[in-house]
Amino acid sequence: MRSVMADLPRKDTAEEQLLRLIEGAQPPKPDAPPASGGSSSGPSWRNRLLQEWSAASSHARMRWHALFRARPRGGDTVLRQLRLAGRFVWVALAGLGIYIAVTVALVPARRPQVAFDTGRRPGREAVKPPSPDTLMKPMADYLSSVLQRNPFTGNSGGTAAAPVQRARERLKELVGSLVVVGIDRGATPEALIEDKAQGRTYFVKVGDVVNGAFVKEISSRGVIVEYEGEEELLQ
Amino acid sequence: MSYYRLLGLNREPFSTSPDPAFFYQSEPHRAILANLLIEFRLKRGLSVVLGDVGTGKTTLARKLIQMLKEREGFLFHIVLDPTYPSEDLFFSSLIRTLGIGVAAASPTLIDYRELLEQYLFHKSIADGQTVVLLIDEAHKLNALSLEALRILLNYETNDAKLLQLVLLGQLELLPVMRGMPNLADRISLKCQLKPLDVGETHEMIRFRLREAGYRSPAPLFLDEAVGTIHEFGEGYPRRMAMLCHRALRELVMRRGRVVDRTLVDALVQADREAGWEPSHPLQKHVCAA
Repeated sequence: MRSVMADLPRKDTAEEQLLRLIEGAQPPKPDAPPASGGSSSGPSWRNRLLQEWSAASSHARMRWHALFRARPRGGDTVLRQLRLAGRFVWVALAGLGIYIAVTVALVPARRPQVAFDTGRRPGREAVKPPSPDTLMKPMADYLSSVLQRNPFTGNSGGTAAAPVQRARERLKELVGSLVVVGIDRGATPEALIEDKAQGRTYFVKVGDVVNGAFVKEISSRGVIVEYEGEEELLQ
Repeated sequence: MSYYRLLGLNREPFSTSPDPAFFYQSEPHRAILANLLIEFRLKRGLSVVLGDVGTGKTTLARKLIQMLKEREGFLFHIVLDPTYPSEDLFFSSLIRTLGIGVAAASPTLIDYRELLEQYLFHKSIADGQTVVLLIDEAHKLNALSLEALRILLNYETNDAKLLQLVLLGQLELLPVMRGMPNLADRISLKCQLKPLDVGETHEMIRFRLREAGYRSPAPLFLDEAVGTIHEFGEGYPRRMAMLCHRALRELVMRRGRVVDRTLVDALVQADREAGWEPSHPLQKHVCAA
């Protein structure tokens, strides 16, 4: 006897071919549900829509039931655990989605703050970035304000008469032995300064520091040096 | 647990219930079904299907209904037992079967006819439906009922009958219809269900086992057993199905693996010894088309 599974394709009979020819414009409905009472009245498009919706909803219900509500029979613990794990994954994904949606919708966007002091220690405030006003000033003013700070006393320029007097005297001490030998008024003005006390000469330009004094200006009149807000003209 | 599960089956393979799923369609069966559908599409009117006891008429009717459900534009009804002593009762039952509402308190035969005519006109012409009425056990119809059906067949337009009527009955219906020439002349399709041959018997058994869920490559019935089954059943599907059912049950009880000729012979012998021989004479008439 031939194998049960051996199935040869059946050839249509002549009657079936004729029937197919007659029904050519009216093919049978596939998977039509059995109707109680044997009637098929009513608009065909409506019946088809109802059937498709019914089949789709039935399929969706079956999938829902299989995924969440079906209880495995027997003692298949592995399958039960896999189902439970699947449910947890779904719940976690749903929660993550809700969190992302709430975060995007409700929390306003905050710009990240850049710390300019990359070496800051925990607990210390980050150094504020320089203000536009500071950036607009010449470099000489910036260096002047830095040099005016005394790291040991914490003074920054001071307004009292005693500190001014001390700055003036100190400036005299620093540049008292300096004389201007020559001035090069080129694209970048330079001055040749001789320290008679030490017997040394320096080529300086604006912004340099000579004997602790800041070279503020070089002109035909001479070289103006500055120390803690006090100025002196070297000739 | 049912016995068939021990054989690897999901359902009972050889039930005698007219389940369309287990209806094995041989080529003649397929031709008959296709011809009936063609008659319906062309609205030819009256079709007659004759067959001996156990040839599958009722199962064929169920299969036909299943096919009509898959198609649009058909209104079908089936009468399973058309035994009516009078014409009034026949029409009254027909009215109820078709679901027609009767307004009159005491409707007469004329009222029934008018209601039927209006119903057929309304459904066939206005709604564009094809009304199909299947009458099983049609050999039980008396002359009055046949005459009433003939009247229904008179309801027609210029090119189509309003009612498509299918009579399924045993061969005893043939001489009755021959005695009514005005009805016999209206028969558009005449066909007869004949017993299966040996090859078709093989196919029927394989088909039923497959539908019942049998997937093993090992056969449950040897060829010699199938031959014996066909010989004893004479090709009638019902008789062969019942014998196959008994053979499988015996196979399970004996804890065997396959039904062979010895087992089938034993069952047949047991029937003969008990006096259960085939009681109805086999009629092998060939109907004129």
